[in-house]
Amino acid sequence: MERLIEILEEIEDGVDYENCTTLIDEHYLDSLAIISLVAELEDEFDIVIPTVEIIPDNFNSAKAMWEMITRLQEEG
Amino acid sequence: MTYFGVAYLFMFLPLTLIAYSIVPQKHRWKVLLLASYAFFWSISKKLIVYVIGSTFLIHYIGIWLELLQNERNGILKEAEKEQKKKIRAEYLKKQRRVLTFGVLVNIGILLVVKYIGFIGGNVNSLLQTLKIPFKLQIPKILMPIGISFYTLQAVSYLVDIYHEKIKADKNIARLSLYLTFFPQIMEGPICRYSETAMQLWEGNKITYANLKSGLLRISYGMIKKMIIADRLNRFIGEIYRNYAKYDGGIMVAGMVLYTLQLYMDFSGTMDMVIGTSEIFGIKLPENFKQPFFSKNISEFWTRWHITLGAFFRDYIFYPLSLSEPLKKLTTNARKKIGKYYGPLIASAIALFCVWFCNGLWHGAAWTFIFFGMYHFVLILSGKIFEPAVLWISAKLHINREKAWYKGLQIIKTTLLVFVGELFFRATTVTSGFEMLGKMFTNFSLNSFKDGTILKLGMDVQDFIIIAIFTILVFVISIMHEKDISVREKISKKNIVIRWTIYYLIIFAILLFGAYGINYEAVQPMYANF
Amino acid sequence: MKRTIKCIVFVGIFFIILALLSKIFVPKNNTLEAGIGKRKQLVTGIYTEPENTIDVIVLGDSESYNSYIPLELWNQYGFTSYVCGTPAQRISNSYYYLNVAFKRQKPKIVILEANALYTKNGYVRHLKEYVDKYFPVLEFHDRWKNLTKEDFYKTPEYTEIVNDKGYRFSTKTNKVKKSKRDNFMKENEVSKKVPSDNIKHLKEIKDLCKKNDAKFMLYNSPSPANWNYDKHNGIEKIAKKLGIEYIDLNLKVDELKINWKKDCQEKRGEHLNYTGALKVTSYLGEYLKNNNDLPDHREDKSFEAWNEAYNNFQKEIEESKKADV
Repeated sequence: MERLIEILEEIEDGVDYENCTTLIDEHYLDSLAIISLVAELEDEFDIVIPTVEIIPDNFNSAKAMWEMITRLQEEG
Repeated sequence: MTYFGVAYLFMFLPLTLIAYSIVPQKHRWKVLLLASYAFFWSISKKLIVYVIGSTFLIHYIGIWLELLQNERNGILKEAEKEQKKKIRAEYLKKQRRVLTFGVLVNIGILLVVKYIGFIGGNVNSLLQTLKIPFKLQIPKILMPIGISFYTLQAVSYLVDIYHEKIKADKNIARLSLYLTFFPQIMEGPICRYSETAMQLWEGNKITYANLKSGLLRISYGMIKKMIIADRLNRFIGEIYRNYAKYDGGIMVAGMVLYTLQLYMDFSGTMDMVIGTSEIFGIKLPENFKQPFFSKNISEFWTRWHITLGAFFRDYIFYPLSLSEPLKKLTTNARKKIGKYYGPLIASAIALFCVWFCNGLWHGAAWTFIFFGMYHFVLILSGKIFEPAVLWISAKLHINREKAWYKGLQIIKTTLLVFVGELFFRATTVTSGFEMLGKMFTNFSLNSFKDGTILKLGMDVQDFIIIAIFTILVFVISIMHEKDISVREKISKKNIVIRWTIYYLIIFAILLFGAYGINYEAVQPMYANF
Repeated sequence: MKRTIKCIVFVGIFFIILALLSKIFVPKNNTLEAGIGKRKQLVTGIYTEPENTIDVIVLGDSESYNSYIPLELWNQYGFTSYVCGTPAQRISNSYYYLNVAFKRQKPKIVILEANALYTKNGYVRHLKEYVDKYFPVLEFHDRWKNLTKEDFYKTPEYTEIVNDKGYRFSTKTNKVKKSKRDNFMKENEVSKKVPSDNIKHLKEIKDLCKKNDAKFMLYNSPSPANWNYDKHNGIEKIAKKLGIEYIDLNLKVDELKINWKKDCQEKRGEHLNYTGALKVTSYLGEYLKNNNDLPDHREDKSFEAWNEAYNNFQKEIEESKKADV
């Protein structure tokens, strides 16, 4: 989780990732940022994020992202 | 029939509302479907076969996809663990073929109907320049109303089934209603099946609260469209038609006021569409969210024609940039040119496709393609220079959270949007550049001083009315931006104030609306896209 | 219950305000300065011509006021006419205007341009007629731009005698497309039915004329866009049945020497321009003079105003020629 926050801060600075739950809805992360993020996450956590997973629900908060990552790791 | 015409407002809509409210709930969808087909028929007559054809096609393709999924799930249950991956891949391939077929047919029809004239015309002029004595016969094909909108809805339906986000609908009537629901068929919003299909089917009761709130929203749309947008019509037409006659000052006025007209026309129509649906108890997705408060162009496109942007993002941008080849590209590029610029290459490729399609979707003309490419360049360069801008502002100790900085960003974005819309409206790309050039080489305020500006189809009073109501819309937009519901505020006032407001709205539209014999009828701007 | 009452009160107040605004917005005279508008002004002349001075009344839609030139007939034969045509006039409007005309005039002949007989009166149009009649604020809503003090207390009174006696002068010229004009009157047996509602009104007009001792007849001005042989047959049939005289000038295009390159306003050939209308008017004038007992007022001192009107009309023509050069 900490590593995730670090990655997020690298991509877009100055957002309260611990608490924000509207990262997509409020446009803190735009679609280009999502592409960078997906590449970074796949690299870092050794997962494959399919297109189907790219929905606001999965990216609106760090917590949701973390849940998605762990789920994908388990499915492996 | 148009949404702001007498026939729709005083005959079609009231009759539909009455029929809807007197039939029992389980039959209400029939009223909506009948009304939708009647509406379609009233505009496009026999061309209704196109939408009926599309409905049948996606109905069966959808079911086919689901059958494949069920078959796969059945086999997967029995299968050994090692085989599962192979089975999945095999079925994915099968599904992909079916999906491709369905999407291609839908898009193919759209391409033929909408672009054959454009493509043929360009081939002919190419042949001419190459001095080849051959000319294509370009057939004239009539375009059914709303095809650009319902085709995208049809595609999103199929892709969503493919991704197993939704189940195929076994009920073809519901699917037809999803594609053709009359308030949205002409100009959108472009809805997803999961957003609207079930709501349309439910046949919710028309409540007094919904009726009041819906009518208020409709009247706000009428203010935008009838008082502001339609009043600008003649003036804008004259400037873009005969721009050679006027100086740079007029060009600036034409550019700014066209953007105003387009916004008021399109967002006003959306207020009408969403307000109408609200009366039926149906919540459609919003298409505008105060776009002129955007701080950069990417943000602008998440606030202007939202459902179109979302369609391109979800069905072109992500699938492309996360496709196998582009993902590989991203991985390699990240190693070579770094974490920031690496993923940008794949994004840029996907972004190019998005904006090429976006431009082309708006119409078969080079101006629209230019419009798309313009936004592609702006968004991409915004990303490329972002680190530099951050670095500079850090060096200069600029606080990017300060209001003045955000204000500057908003002004910059708005100016860029103005230029984009100039090309959007210009008759050709060349004339767009000529108009833009005049603003720099031939700029003067003489036309404002000597009264030329008042001879282009609008007099002083017209300008005053437009100014007053634009300010009104601006104030309401600020309130919306601050999450204040104006309608709720009004409903909490006492009856005297409330009714005064209602009467003021109604009579403002009746007196200041640009309708009647002194105005040409204005075609709905987005219906032909 | 309470809600229903509230709704009724709300709508009631709405109509009261609408009626009050109508009083203010309705033009107080039939002058352009008073805001009546050019199109509407054409027909208001029938309210202001001196009593019992009009010999021929012409009714119909745009085909009528684009083809019949009263002042030309005045100059050639000395009888007086007025065109009560309005854009897209429905046959029920024709009846209404004829009633207005009979109140002050004793015409010997009433002529209807028969194109209006095929125009159906839709619900929307019907609604609009009612609204225009009872709440003129909607038709004249643009007058907020130039309301004067007088608008708030005066009642409307028409005083202006209208130029050109209901004819709408136009020199606009477009070559009519070959596909439109060739064979548009190809003979055949089909006859297009006149809507029964319109036949009803046609009979009413005929009876009204009989009551007022006026002869009633039909004509059609050449119009490739609006006319064909099916329609000709339809009108011919109904005219025969009701015993109404009917001349279809679409059949006499060659005799009239209509020049499709110069005599029409639009490419599709909807309306004749001045030169075309002149040809139609000359033909109709000769026909009317030869078949009826029409007076010649040219030497009559009390009709001096018509000579003046004719001179003004000639000036208008001269000026438009200058403008064209």
